Amino acid sequence: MSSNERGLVSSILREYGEATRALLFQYLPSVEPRRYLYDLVADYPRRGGRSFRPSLCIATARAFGTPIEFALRTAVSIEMIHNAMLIHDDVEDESEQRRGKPAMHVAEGVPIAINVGDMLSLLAMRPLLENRGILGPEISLRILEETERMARESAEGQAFELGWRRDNVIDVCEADYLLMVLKKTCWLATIHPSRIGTLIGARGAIDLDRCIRFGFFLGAAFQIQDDLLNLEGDAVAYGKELSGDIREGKRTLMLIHLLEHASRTERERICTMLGQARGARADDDIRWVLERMQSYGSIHYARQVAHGLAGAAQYEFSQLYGHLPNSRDKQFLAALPEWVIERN
Amino acid sequence: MSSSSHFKRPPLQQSGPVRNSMAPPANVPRQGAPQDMFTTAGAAVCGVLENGVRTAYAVIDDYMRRGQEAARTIFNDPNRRGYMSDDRGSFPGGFNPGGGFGPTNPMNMLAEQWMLMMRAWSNACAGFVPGQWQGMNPFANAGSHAATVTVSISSSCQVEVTANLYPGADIQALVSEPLRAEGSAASIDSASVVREGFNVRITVKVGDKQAAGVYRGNIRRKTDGNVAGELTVVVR
Repeated sequence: MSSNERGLVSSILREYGEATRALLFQYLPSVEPRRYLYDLVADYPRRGGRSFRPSLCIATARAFGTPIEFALRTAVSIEMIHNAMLIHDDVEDESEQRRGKPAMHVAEGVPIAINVGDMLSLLAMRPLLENRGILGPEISLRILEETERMARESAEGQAFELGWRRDNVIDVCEADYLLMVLKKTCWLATIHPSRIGTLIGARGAIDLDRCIRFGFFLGAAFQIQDDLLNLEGDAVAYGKELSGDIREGKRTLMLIHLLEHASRTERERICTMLGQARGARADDDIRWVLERMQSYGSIHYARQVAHGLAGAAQYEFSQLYGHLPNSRDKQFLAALPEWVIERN
Repeated sequence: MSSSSHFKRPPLQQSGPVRNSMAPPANVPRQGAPQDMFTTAGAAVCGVLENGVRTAYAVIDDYMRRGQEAARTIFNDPNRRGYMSDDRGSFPGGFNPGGGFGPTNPMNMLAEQWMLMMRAWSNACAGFVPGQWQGMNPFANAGSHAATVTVSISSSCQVEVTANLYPGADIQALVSEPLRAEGSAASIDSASVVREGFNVRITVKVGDKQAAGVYRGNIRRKTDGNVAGELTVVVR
């Protein structure tokens, strides 16, 4: 990835992220109860983030020549739903940190965190309803339908992961993992923004199912890179506890690879550790699993797969958006597959 | 807990050979093969990488196939737009227009009730707008309608007309502002923009004495006056 491409991606993420956040805060009520609800609703969005999802939505619509304001409300909704899901994910995963600060449930308690997540999800409906004034009723309702589907897919994917962890399922294979990622990560992170951007840009003239392949490969590469950063990233830049995925027992590609290649004894030790409650997993065990992943080449393997998926995303991009006239937004979209596997 | 006690999904039925990542798909019509996808990613082609991508293609192919089959089962129409294109059959009590709701969790039921309410609301609103949707279901043919624009020009001189319609303009009642000249020439007041179904008809009459030049005007929505596009006429 050239420095120009990297600069372009950073610039667009910053530009569209700022536009999204500026409008997002207008949708957050400044009324009581502030202490237990509305101040907290603004907490995760205020912590920043890359604004990858709303930027993808806006850039896709703009690549068709559509003004930013036509996609902005939907981008706001996507960012709000993303933050709402993060609050609930952090509870479900028992995560301790989010974007460099204590997770919502750590700071405010689980009941309040769940309620804040619920409210943020509901608030995300308002910009979608207000789409009607600028996009018309048909496109607006289709976006609502798309949002409902995305929410279902995401919950189904999350159900896979939570179920595997609760029941300590250890025979998860790579295809299981990819299907889980398709639903849990890709629908909200890449497929949905891509579909909505295309819907707005092409006004329904393009079959949105064509966006699924591009979104899947891009999102899967994104997720694997995220999992790699969890093991090897910079703790400050990453914003979450390193090796948190091992501690949380997440079935990542690296863990699946390790379980497939470990000796019987090692496999039993891993299974025992995964069967323990999160808090009972010893630091020594976490370090040992990480060391075994390195030793068996699991991390290298996952990185290679992420590269392959990014390549597939580039191919699907050319099939889906290759016909569009050249523009800054199209260049941004084209650069994303490499960006997702190079980011830190 | 042992793995034998876990819920196991039925094995996936592969509709065709698992696609090699370097070969075109076997069962999905495509415009080309991804021969160059690894070189563009800057990654070396190797067995490990190829296997990973092949698995990913198998997963997404199967996902798409299940969705298409579900869509055919539910609507008997494979070309219906993609809303139902996932495997809704695996979803207990999945969305079932006209068939009520099956057992499902409260949030899903709320979501579906919500969608039905929105449809009813939208239909009700459409009834008050002349020329709006004629059917009960505004989505019935949404995917098959691309907007068309018809331009009628009445002029004794050479005229070039450019219309830039923003998304959604083709389903709005529209009105054109007078087209003002970039210079001091008199404006063109006879331009009109009328939406007829999914067609937008633009009519421009240019008088014999109209000065050569570029004339521009906004196209606005009748309902709220917001800009829905631009109309540019060049008189030569």
